[in-house]
Amino acid sequence: MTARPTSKPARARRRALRAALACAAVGVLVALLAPRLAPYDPSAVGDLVHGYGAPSHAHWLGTDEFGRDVLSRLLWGARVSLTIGGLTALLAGTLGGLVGLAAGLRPGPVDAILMRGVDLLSALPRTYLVVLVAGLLRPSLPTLVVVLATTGWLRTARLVRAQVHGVARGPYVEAARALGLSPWRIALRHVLPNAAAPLIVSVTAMVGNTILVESGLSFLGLGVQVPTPSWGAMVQEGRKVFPELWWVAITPSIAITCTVLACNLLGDALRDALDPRSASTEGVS
Amino acid sequence: MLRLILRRLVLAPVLVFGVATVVFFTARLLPGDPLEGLATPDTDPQYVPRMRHQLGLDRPLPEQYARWMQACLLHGDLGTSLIARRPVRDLLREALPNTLRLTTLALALRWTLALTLGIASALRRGRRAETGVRVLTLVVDAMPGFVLGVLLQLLFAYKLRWLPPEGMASVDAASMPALERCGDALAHLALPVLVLGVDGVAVLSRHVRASVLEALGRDHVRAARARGLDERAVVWRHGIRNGIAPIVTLLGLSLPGLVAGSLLIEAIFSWPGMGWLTIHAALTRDQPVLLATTLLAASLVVIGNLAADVAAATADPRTREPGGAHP
Amino acid sequence: MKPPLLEVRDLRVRFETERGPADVVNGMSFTIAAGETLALVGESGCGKTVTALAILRLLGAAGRIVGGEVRFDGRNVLDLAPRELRALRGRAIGMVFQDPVASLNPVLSCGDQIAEVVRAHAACSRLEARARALELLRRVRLPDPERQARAYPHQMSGGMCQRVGIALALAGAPRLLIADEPTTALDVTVQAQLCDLLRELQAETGMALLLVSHDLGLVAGLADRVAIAYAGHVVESAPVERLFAAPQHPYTRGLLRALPDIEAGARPFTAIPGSVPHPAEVPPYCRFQPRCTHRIAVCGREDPAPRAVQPEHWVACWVDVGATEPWTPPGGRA
Repeated sequence: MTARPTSKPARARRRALRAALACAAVGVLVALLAPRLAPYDPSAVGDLVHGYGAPSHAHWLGTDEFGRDVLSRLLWGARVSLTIGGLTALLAGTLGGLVGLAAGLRPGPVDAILMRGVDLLSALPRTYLVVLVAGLLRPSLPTLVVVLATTGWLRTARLVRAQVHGVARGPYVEAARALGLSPWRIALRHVLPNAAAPLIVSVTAMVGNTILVESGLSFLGLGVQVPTPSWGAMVQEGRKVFPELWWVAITPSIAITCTVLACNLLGDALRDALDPRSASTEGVS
Repeated sequence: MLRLILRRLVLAPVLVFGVATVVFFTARLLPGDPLEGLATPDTDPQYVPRMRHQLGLDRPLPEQYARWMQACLLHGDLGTSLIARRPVRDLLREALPNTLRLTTLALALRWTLALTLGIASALRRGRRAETGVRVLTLVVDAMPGFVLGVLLQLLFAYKLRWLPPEGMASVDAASMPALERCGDALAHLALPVLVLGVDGVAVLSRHVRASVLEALGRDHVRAARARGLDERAVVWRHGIRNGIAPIVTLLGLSLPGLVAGSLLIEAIFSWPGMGWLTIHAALTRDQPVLLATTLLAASLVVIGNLAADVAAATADPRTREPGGAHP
Repeated sequence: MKPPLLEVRDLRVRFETERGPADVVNGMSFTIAAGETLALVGESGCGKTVTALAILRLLGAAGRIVGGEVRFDGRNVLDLAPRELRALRGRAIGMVFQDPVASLNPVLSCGDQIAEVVRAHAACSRLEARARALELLRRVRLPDPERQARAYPHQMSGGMCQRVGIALALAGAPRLLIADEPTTALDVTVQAQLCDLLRELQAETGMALLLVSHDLGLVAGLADRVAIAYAGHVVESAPVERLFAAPQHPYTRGLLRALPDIEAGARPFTAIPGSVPHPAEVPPYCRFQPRCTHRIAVCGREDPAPRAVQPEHWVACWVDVGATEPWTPPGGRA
């Protein structure tokens, strides 16, 4: 008789995962449907004399000092942030994953060169590099994604390499090799699925992290440029009209925090679900 | 252990060299003209070409690289700011101490908080404690440093007016008596240090907690108890001390995070440090300054990692030998 | 008759498992007299290590002692206040653990660790403690004690670490030494050396020894008496020669038969069919019954209580196995 792991921690983990995935789905939907959901044009300037005001029936989150509807700007900002976050994470994840895979599978000079390179690049503080490039370029959305991705793949590469390294030397890969399977088959069917878990978790966490960096950049005026609404820029604008129009600064702040929180939770839930060993265990020693 | 430090010391300049190379080529290979922002409608039309020649920007790229590296690393000459028309080295010399003042205090605060919270929550085991700490740290984790900074500034400086909103000192600080000047400096330090220090405490305290819990569960802790040692000694000398050792490596690793994080904090609080200098340079396209600050920041990271390695070797004798086990 | 030094009576230790609460130690009883060596023998999972830890109340959060008594010098250890318990640990009862390297603090030198224990048990200066530490290292036959005192555990071999572990256990001059699988993690040659060391130390100090092991060879070399444990309690206990010469319990016989014998030439291994019951699913009748070839009807109804086959030889079995099937030692060895 085998016992199924329906222990309390396992069920709680599954519930957490479902909740996190649901939030993620909502986020993606908002990002996709923002143009439909936003009640107003985010750039539409209102009546400059009487047009601004506190949250009201007409404007659920109020307007800024130019009369622009905060809710609409928030929704469009979500679209921008999540797009940048998602694309960056995908790009950086692919890059980091490939490098990590290559380094982990081919030990020796290839591994050494790749990892020394990663070490070198890791010495560069990411924020400074991003500011450097953004300062010299005034990037558009695609360039921003490229900049963020090329500075953010290092951690993923290390993680994937460590995992692949461990798996490639594991007993079942040895067994596969002893059975005469081709290296490609081994890499694809045995190594990759087992190395995928930290990659997925890392990519998810990267979405939140990228949004953090991107909103910081926009806050400084170096990120997404003016006509496009962005949460970071909204916070900066909100500072100027605090405390009279306090909602202009507060709402994007809450939005950023909640989004990053959701990404982190999703990453945690994925990690718990994909690698049961990392979850806390109780029971007979 | 000496061998380890020597090896790292030799590696460090190589790393800095490599970093400088990457920074230089990143900047130069970007599309766009580095002197773009220099010309205003009423400047002498010969000015920009003259500057270009003077700065050597019309030379082939490898030559520019060689000259820049030579100037930077051998002579310590980091160029001249395009906007301020002053040697970059002077600008940095003024800005760096301010940043260091901020980051060292923030580092001390962060580690004190993280160790206290981490050890306390590890000793006070129990699901409620674990969940409570987890929830709190999760929320604080998610809030970006600059959001926290902005919110606290809005609350304490603009709404409540308890603390000054920006700068390092009040305008009339020079004329204050010494004690009052001290108080003024502290008041200005309070918010930036708090924001910079608190950012990342959550993750760190979780690491501390996990490491301490793991150490407390090890065989030799139970063995120490079996040998009749005082419970306090068992928990602290045999448990927590072993739990802290692996955490010490994170100390050096948090330096780069601080250097990077101070960038935004200095922007929010108009703190005249390296970060503020960088942002200003980015907004005005002052390439020499940008290159210099990035290079300096990267060097600080290399130093931080070196310090981390030394600290790790001191804490855990196993890592001192080249073949020693890693915790 | 002298009261025993250590008396474990009907000890029960409960763990929470996925299949529910499990009494890993389930009615464990044995006694040790002063100066005597008792070997507690059984397969993995029979509860012998848990018993050893329970005697000093070292189980931590995982296991709970839910029944029975552990009397040392007449006093029940399970009732002791924390301060009295600490006085017991290391000073009256010493313990040596299975993984020698893991039971030492990796960031302290061996000398420092021993000196710390010395100072915990007797008020003395650091210098005196240091001297005593060196003396202990000499006593456990470590070559070049000054050098070993400065060394760290990861710089020493398993055998040397275990000697340090023994030195640490002896620091308080205990009257009972509990050795939990002290040689399991070590090479065979080192095993023999440690076996000799333990015997010599016992002769020098007159301390009693509780040897927990699954290695019958080690037991034969060290023990005065043997207690065979199965599924949480003792099924047979006897003086060592008697146990090897005339084992009564079917499980004991199975264990002895399963020992590979170099002199017997090639013969198939005789394993005991079946497997040990999960601690959460122990039946209320004889626990060995499903695997027993001598079982009768009552074995499936009631759990047998120990009965004396001879003075000092107790068996928990309904069947008089010795009468139905005389024992021939495998391969002709006695």
